[in-house]
Amino acid sequence: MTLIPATVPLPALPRRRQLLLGTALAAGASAMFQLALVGMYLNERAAHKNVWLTENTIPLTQPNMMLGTLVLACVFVQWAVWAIARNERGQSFLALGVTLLLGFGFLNQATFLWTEVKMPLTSVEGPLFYATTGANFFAIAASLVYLALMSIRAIGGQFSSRRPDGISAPALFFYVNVAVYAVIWLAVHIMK
Amino acid sequence: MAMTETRPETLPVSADAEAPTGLSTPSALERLLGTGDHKVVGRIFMCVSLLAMAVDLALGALVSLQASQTDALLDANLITRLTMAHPVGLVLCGAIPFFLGLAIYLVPLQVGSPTIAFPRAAAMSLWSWVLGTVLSAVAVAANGSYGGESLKMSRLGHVSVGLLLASLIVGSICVATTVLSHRAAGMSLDRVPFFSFSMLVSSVIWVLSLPVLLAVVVLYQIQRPSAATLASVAFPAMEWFFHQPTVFMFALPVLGIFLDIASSASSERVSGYGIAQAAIGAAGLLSFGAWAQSALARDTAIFGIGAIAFALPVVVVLGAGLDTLRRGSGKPTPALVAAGSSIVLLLVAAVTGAVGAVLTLGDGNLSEFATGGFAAAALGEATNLGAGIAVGQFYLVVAAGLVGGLAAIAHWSSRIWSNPVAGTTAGPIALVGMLGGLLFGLPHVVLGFALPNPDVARTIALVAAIGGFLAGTAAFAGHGAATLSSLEPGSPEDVETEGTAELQGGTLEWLTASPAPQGNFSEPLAVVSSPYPLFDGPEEGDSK
Repeated sequence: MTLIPATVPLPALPRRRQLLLGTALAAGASAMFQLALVGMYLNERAAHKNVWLTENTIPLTQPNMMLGTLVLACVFVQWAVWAIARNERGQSFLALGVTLLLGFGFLNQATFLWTEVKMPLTSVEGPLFYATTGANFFAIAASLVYLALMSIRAIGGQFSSRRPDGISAPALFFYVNVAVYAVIWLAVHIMK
Repeated sequence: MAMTETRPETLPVSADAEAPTGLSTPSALERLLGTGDHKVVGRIFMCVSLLAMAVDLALGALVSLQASQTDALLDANLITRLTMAHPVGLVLCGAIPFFLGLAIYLVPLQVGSPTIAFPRAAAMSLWSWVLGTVLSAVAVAANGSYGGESLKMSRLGHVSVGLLLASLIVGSICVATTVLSHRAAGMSLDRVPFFSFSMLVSSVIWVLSLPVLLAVVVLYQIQRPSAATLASVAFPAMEWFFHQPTVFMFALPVLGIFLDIASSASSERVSGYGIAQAAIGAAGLLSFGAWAQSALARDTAIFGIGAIAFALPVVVVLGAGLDTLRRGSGKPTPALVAAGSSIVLLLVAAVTGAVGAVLTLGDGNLSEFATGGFAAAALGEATNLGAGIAVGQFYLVVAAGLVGGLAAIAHWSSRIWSNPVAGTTAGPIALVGMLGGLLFGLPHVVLGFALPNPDVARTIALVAAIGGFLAGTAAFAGHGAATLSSLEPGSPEDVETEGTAELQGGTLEWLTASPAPQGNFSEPLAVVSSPYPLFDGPEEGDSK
């Protein structure tokens, strides 16, 4: 027995792309914040190139693995966006779960890298190194929290092919922060 | 499973609705602190920011007054603290939050939305900004902030700047998202009212610029700086924010305010709507200055061209407004005169920068503060051309923002308050602000260009001090009028019901009752087919 007549109109859609547009602006702010730190890092490195990283070393293994992890996570989060737009809810939850797992893997590697580097804050490059990598760490962590919250709301049935923004918005925030990590990887870890 | 995304504040309220039994009715304070109503949030933003602006203008005037005297009027350390605190306060506690508050109130009405985007984020932006403002004032008062001697209070002042920046970023995102996603049916971006469009441009520029300054704050906080380091290293690293081209972004909304008021005063459409919008967009683009932080970046041809080019969009907007007035039939109102004055102030600031760029291009002097800084220039001790010019330009832009803001209060007061006090007083107050702003800014420009002998410099600084106090008085009077209007509702005959309001403009905010009801519009809006839907006739082709 059903109480809902077949002709019932669909509920009104929320405001057009509010979440996606708001997230895009927030992602822009996040990127500017981190890129400003990268700019200051490069500026200071150019000003102190004779003493930069002479007493400290940054290993390459962890940063490379971290980049690989994030690239893989991007594939999975895009899978989640693709799946929710086609009402493939099972696939979407699986992809979101794997993304969160990979994201936590990234955070774990980042903290491990800091323990390996053991760079003192009193060194000339220390504050900028921690500010740059730390800002990205928190941005990626915020992306994961955002994704996790939206995953819970997706489980509650809030997002579907009619309203995929709930997943695509945190995905956009995640992509932007991964792109910024790629810049940090190149500027801080590779070019030293 | 039934779910709803409708915010409580957008639900229609039934007059005979009763509170569920067992639940206590929230007190007035609880309702105030917990509100997501964009109208309440916007009013508080405006009232508090005008007070902060008044205080910071008075502090700036004190600094100029000290520069005009040979004897010490106040403790030297206090003067140093005030010198560094007042530009930060004028921008982060005054100009930007005032326009954000006005936008949080007005933009939803202009674009036909029942609420602001992310209302809880807007409320969070307000209260964290209020907290940041209070902490910043406490830090300065307790021998801290930049130039202070107390380590804890200096760091508190530094952190409070970070809190202010984060709050303003959140508020800017709410405003920009409202314009982008909450527009009424048919209102494409090229039909958005000028004030809302200028706030879209301003918000985007703020969202891209404020995080860069926040990065500087965070970096120096990580370094666990001493009080001396904050004054001698951190503050100079932040000075690009107060100078050309970034300085212009604090007054961008006055471009939209002027065009909307010109259209209303003349009951005429602005012709060349797209060109005027493009001019506002170009002004926004030219005011993005995060790239020009170092002296090296400022000593380039691009910087010089940008400095000269900024005057062009201001002239275009001024021309569009004057053309509208010429074609219209209205009389000059105090709001119109004040809005025009704010554009003139902005133009003077732009021309000042352009002339400075021409005279100093290649010398690295236009905004060269490394050889004296804001402090030296404000104290009349500038030893290079650029320092005085840039400080004067800063005051002129802030004054343009103040006068434009007061013009907006005079023009839209009937949309914001039922009490007519703010509407009737804000126009004349704005003209006092105009005079004060000119007297505050131009003497510093003269000091920068002429580098006169100390006796003449002291006299000029005295004129600047008088101007600063006048501008501060205007801001304080504006705060008083806005606060009084917020606390005291108008008499029943002052309350306009929907459809009875005297039509003062062609944009949607003039359609609804004043003050606007919950949800802003009691009836569904018709599809918008032009930038001025209220000027459109009832039948197609009957548009004015």
